[in-house]
Amino acid sequence: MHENEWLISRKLFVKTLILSGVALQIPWLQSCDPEDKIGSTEPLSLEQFKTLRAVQDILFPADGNGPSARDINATAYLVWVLNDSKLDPDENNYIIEQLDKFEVECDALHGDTFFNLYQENQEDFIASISNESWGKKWLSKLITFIFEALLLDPSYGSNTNEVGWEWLSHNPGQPRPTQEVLYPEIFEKL
Amino acid sequence: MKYDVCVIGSGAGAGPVIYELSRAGYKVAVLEKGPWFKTEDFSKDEMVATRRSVYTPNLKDESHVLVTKNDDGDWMSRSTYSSGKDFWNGSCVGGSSNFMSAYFHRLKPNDFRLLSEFGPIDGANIADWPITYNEMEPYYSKVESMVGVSGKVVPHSFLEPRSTPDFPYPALGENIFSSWLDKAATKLDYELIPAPRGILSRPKDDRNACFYSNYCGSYGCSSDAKGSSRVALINEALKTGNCEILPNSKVFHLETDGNGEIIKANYYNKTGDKQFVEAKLFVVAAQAVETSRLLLMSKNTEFENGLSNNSGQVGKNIVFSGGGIGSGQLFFDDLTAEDSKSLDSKGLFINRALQQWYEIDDPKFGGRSKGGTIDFVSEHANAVTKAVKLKYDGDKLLYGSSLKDKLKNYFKEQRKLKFEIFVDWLPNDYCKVELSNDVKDKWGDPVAKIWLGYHEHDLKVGRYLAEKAEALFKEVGMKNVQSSISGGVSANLQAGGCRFGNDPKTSVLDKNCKSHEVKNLYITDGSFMPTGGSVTYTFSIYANSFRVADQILQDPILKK
Repeated sequence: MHENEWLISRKLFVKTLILSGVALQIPWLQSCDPEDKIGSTEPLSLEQFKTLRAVQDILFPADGNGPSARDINATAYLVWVLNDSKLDPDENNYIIEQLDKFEVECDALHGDTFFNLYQENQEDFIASISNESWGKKWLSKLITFIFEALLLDPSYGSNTNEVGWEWLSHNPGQPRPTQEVLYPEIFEKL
Repeated sequence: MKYDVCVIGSGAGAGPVIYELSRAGYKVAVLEKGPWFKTEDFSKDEMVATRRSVYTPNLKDESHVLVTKNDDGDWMSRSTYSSGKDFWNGSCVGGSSNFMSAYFHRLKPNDFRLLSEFGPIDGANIADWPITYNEMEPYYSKVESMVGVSGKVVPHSFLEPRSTPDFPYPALGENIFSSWLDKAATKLDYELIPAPRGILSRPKDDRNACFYSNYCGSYGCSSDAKGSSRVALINEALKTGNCEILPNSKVFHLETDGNGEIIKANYYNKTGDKQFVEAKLFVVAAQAVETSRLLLMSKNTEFENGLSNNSGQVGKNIVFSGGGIGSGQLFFDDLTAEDSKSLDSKGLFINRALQQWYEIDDPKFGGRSKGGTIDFVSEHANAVTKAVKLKYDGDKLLYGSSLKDKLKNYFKEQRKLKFEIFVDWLPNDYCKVELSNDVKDKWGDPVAKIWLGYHEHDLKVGRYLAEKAEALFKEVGMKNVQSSISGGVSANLQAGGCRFGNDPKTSVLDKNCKSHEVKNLYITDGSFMPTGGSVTYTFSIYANSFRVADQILQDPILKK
């Protein structure tokens, strides 16, 4: 499957949204079956991607109070962040290295991968590592990226249909960014 | 081509010189290390403005080394690339003036003579300025009209002498909270005053008035109302045809001729190639830290300790702005529907300040002392920034439904208002700029190593003012009123490092901001300040740069 099919490059993603209209993107996103639709998750493996998504499901759940991590396309956003060559590579490597540690710790405690655990056990494991220094720092970082996915301009491929802004009654400033002054496209102008 | 003047930097310290010399017919080259954003490049995109390094260099390419004292009293150094604590602020044409909040308070007459007026303080290197307020006053007025300052002058205990009765632009629109502050201030017998802003409340030339976007500080202005050096001065200079801007031009060395004159500014262009500009006269305004760094990097056989540094004073006595912040909350449930709606209206300013304790004469404090300024502001609209601050409950990381509840409540059920306290950052031996021995930038040059030592007296003054501000917030009926006074640094509020003074042994510049040692070098950013006063610096940097521009126009070097 072509890598752009699901984790489509953001530029193409935005263009697709513009061409297809808002109504078309919702079923596309919501009907997305990861087993079928996930293309390249680089630099994450498919398993890592699914684990991170499961972690995000607990950090920002579908609990009836506003959008969930999935509603705002948070995992795809995180993959986009991890592919950003302008960011400190050490910082992005940290996300993945700690994900590996996360799985090792999970296996030691529960004898299985995080993804395969029952939700109750997943929640218990997150609760336990949130009290450890490394776990707290890593989860905190993931939450920051969820907040970015929730509250930055939808042009970045998250905050779908401005659902994050609407939930929190947040008014974005005007003018909103045009395609050519988004990050990192703005660098090409200079 | 040999220019008449080469200006290094393009922010508030550079703009007036660029403007005045271009308009006087001199050929001016401006070397700016950052790119050239135009007004149409600015949007209210939080990603670009604050979440990524767009208006500032990437820290993996260019960092600083910060030296701070740990809890054990030991000085520890760490690069900003390692810590993530970014010390850049606005690296582009117009510099950080593009992104300022533009609180434009003047200095007071006593700020020019802090040592004479209040005496020495142990551990502080306080010095009087070699000029008086009266010499600066005409240039404050000039900035008010040319850059554009809005507000309303009202009498108060520390109103500085003015040659004009009021600001040239009327006050900006205000949030209802300002009137609540006014009422509370009356009850407490506080002299609450309108805060002047370097923002146009009505159009000026090619610039539009403020459109109350609700995203001002940290963002480029989309109406050109904010008085950045770029729109207020450089755009005007460009109209003369005498000014050439060279963006992405990082000056790394000023070359002298062996007779005390600079002949070339050597710089890297966008592709990293070495280039140079020749000129009769050079003006450095790269912001205080980078100005000192450039002079220290420009050492040669003629200036073995760095350019204009035979006194050993370059980089010494850097100052920031002392003080801190505080906040209080108003909950919509405690207000009428009408008041809630008014409070929640977006974009209108608070624009209130207290300067009643600009000088403190209170036995409880310990006698007469320099005090400071309190500005009252809205919480910034940046949504991600607000959310990130909610991640923790004490040391406990929140997530899941409890985090979402907190997020929703914070955004929808209350408004946080803040106060910012500005006191003198006493110059001291542990606040200075050196060259790092081990950390280099992407061009292989040593980065600035910045010592961030502060004086305990600054905290004492800050706490005194915080009590006054907290009392006002409580009188309004606000909840969760709190403040934090520390020796922490706001990187955008930096000055000093190349003091001006009459004695070449204790200062780098003369009273006209010309180097004591280099015949054709002026420094016009905030580096000249021996003390910084108890207000933000930009207004005074603008005014001083206009003052120095008048002196440069009289310099015989330009007539050669």
